[in-house]
Amino acid sequence: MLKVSGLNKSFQDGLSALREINFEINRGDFVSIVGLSGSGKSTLLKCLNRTIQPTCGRIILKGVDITSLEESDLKEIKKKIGMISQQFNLINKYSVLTNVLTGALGRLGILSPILNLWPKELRDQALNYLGIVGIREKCDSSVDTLSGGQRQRVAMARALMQEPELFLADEPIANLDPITASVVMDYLHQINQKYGLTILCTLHTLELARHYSSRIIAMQRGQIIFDRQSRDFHKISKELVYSEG
Amino acid sequence: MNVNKEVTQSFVRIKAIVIDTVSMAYFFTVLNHVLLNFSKNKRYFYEFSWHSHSLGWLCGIIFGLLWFFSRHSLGYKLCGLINTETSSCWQALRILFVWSLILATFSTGLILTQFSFNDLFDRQGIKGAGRIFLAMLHPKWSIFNGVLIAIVETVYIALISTILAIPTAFVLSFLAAKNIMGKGRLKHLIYMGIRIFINFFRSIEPLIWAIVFSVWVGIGPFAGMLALMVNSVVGLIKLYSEQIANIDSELVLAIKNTGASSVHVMWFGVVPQIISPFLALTIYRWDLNVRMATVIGLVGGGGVGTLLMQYQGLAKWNEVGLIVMMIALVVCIMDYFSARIREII
Repeated sequence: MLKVSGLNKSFQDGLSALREINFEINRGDFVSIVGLSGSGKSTLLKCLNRTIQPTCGRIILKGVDITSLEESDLKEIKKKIGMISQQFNLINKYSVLTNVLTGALGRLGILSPILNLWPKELRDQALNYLGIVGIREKCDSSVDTLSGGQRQRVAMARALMQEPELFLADEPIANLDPITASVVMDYLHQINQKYGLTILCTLHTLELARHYSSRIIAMQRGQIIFDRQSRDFHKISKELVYSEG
Repeated sequence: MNVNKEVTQSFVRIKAIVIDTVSMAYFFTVLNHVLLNFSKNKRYFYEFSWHSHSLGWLCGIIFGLLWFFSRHSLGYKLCGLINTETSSCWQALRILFVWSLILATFSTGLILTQFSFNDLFDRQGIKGAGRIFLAMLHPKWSIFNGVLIAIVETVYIALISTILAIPTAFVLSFLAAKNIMGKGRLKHLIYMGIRIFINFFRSIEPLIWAIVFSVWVGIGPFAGMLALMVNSVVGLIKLYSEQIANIDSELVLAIKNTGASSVHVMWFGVVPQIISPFLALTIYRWDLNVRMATVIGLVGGGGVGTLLMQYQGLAKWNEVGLIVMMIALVVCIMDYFSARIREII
């Protein structure tokens, strides 16, 4: 499904954020990436949907090499990759439903979304996804009135609206309290289990990663140090992952 | 490495020479000017000639160079070429020179503005001014209706000029925002072009636009409105584009990552973030335009300014008094409401 080989990213200041990243992910996997801040987790995710241009290496999604795509073809690939992040990145003052509908922009013509004319089937689809993340009743509220956990669920519904092949979650619970965080993670897990969506999620805590994902990739200083099934992960000491290397 | 250091060193020395000669030449020119003012033959003072100043410049350049080669000059000090100094004499000389420069500049300023206590406290003059103030404090209410109509005209001139400026400013402000234009060569060229255009047109006062347009379309409110509109377009482009430059780029990226087209990225990623500040800035601009419309009226831009000019020309100070009071009142009201609306937004 997703194959990453020899991926490197160096920034202009000479900082090497990713070094020789290689891994493969199968359809329906829930993979967590753990590591300290600055270990390259976010950079890796941003390379996967080409928000950041990798320096070298290949990213192959369903047989298509994303790394070599031109700007015009990139839109098609971006549609297939849903992404949520710790800042939620929702449009404040707009309704929950409109925010979710923006996930379908790639499928629509120029004019109708601007005139706020969304096709009925898209509205129904959006309401359905809001139901999946458990906030259908909030569809007409403005997103400013929602809590952090609810906002993240709206962002999840928006990403689902893209009908993605791959779902990237960049520190989805970093700004949330533990209880809200587990609710968000439960929904993410549910999406993976029920709908077979492939999820790649960066996390700070090993416990959550072990609890929710089938496989864990640990990163340190831009390199993968471990890549195991999560049931095998207890063999690795926590100190190793969270040491400065 | 050494070559580089030498180049930098000589560049710093050139800077020091320029500072020394220019400051010295300026000092002698200004001094010359002050002396000419006190000379009996004031013809030289009022009729500027390059010849009368050439001696000052020559002296300045010679003394400046001499000072520079003494290695204790002002330029040396300002460019950081003096590390340790044994004699405090040079330092005193530099301080003395700077103070002389300030003093000479100040005296020249006083001479050029023809500053005079005699005129300020002239008995006749004070009497005249008092007469006008007294008349203005007794406004002539019989022209109230006429002034009211003129003031309403002024407010509407300001309103229409603002409204007509919005669409052009809105579209162009996106092209004048660096974060929107990105790094492409053509895009950068457009960005630079618009920036230069704004800076050039902003330096032309609305008063000058009013003169141009009153020749173009004839004296009256239309000319005033056009003048304010041109000024508002460039003013709003600058304010709008600064707002756009400060938006949260993460939201823009999030919309882009859904595979949306660039028009949709603008509409859903950028516009929601700027709509409130744009509204506040536009109302502020209207408020500003009401004030400017009054000034523009003085050169034939219509509205209450034109009326003020007419009564002032006829030395009818009671009428002028009423107009001034009503302008002040309207400006206060506009100011209050514009501030309140901006707060709410």
